[in-house]
Amino acid sequence: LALARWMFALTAGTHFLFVALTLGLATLVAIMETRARDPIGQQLVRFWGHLYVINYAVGIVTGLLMEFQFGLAWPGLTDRAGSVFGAPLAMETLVAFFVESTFLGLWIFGWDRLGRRAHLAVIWIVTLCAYLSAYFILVANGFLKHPVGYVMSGGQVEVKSFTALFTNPAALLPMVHVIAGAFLVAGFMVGGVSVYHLRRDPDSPLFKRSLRYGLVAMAAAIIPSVGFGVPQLDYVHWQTHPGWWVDTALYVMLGSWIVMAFVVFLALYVPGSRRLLIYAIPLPYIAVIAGWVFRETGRQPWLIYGVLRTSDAVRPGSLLVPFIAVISLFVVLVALNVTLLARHARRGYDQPALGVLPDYVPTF
Amino acid sequence: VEILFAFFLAGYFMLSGFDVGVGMLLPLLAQGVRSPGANPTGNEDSRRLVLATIAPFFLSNEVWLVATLGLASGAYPAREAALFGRVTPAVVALIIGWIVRDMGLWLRGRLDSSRWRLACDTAIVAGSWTIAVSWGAAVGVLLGGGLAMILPIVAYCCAFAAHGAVFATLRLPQPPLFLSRRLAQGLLPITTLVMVGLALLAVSRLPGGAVSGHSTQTLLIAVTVSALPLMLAAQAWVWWTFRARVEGPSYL
Repeated sequence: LALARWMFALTAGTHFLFVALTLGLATLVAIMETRARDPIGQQLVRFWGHLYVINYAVGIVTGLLMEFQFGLAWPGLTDRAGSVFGAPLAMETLVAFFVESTFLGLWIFGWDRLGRRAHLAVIWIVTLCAYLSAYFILVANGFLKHPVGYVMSGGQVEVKSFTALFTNPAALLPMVHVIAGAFLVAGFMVGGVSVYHLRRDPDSPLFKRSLRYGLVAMAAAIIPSVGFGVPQLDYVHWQTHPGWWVDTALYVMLGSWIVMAFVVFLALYVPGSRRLLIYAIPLPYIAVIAGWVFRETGRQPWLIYGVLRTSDAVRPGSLLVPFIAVISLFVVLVALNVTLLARHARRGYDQPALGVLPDYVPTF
Repeated sequence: VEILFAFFLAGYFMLSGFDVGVGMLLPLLAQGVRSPGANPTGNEDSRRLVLATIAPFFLSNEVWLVATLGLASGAYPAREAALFGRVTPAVVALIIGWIVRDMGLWLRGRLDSSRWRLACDTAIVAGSWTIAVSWGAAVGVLLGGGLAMILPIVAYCCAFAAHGAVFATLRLPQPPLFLSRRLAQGLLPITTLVMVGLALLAVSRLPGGAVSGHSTQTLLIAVTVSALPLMLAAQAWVWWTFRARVEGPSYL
């Protein structure tokens, strides 16, 4: 049980970090592309689009592992509650992920083949599908915290009301909270990288504009992130099953929020302090992971609160081999992602890879 | 639901069969293919050109399998759990092969170093073979296991490779050394039929299992069928946009 639990916690937590940047950055890139009417604006889309794609590609494979893990390590969940829990997950893959990925391929490789409007429409569809994905996942996740709209029949959890399942407040409130968090992650990333480049080249029009996007995203998200966080506290059930790590996670999240709010305030009103943004890039990540730990461990020992215990859902037997394989794979993936993002973020915009093929000389 | 399940898996075999097959035969296909304007001795560039045949498609191809899995976990929760018991090693190998290959594909062009690209190409080839072998092994286990597993493994590998070779031949600027365009055109319907057949074989060997509640099934069918036009339109747009033959290297 301990291994399966750690495997799930580490993989889901990591996947969530990828998702947070994907969700926020997709939106920012879509907005950038909507407003890209001059060459600088288009270069900006290419620069951030490139980082977005790297993160998305590595994020997908972490998601694949998640999908398989339910069947592999937690058969009890699908056995007992598959009808309820599986429905939103199935819709996520079928509707949201399928369309999102298909259109993302079109966006990446269709840079020079699609018209400007078509290309813009494609990135907006990708972004909307990403939100739809997040919604379905939170419906499944919200059911674990606050099971609604179900009946028990013969030891099986069956759906009684889909309306209740899909309008679960334990899914809708975190939706806004998660979106705000994603904007913070992306905003700090965009802001921090822009400041890094502006320190070397203070007049770069591209990174000046980029910095504005980052600042707007941070400023817009900092208040909603806490505003929609607080009302969900009831659904986390942390008061009933306190463990030191649950409280610690809550304090870490709140602490990093206070630091972030301070940094955002300074960056907005004291331009000289913006250098802080470079070092602040990890802050929203810390908040996101702490929030995740708080939310997912607060309901323990229940997997579905009051319905199914975590220990009854796990596959019996040793999971040592898959555990080692999966964890080492994830370590490599995270390392790859961080290295590549850092390298490409540092390199600047003079070597855009999206849509331009400088080494291609047609001979036909 | 059974029909939708078979539909998505067949879609995966038919479409992703192209990119897995091309990945398996990458070094072979790159022989004799010259990237226009590139260094004539650059094997690296030839491989990049071969990869450009599948570049715009592989992401939208593999989502068919993800959709199949999603449908399975929503509609046959018990079956998924039961299945994992018996074919776990094959499934784990499939996932690892899939991840290794995708990382090779996505990240190949992201670092400018020959060693990096060679490592990524190796990942693509090894990962693609692992995928084909895992499918053969999974079906082999479902057919009874033992030594008889060798037959499905060989069959699935050959089918994937042939399907990929045909696809690359039709999309490369010049056909590879071992296959002409005309022959590939004739072979395409055959390999496609074989891939669909192998997908249906895999579906037919799945163990039965308790289906999920009636209301869940109805909802899933309704949602899938109503989303299907959008999904197919998206796929059709991709295939239409990149219908032309490859002329130069791509983003990968």
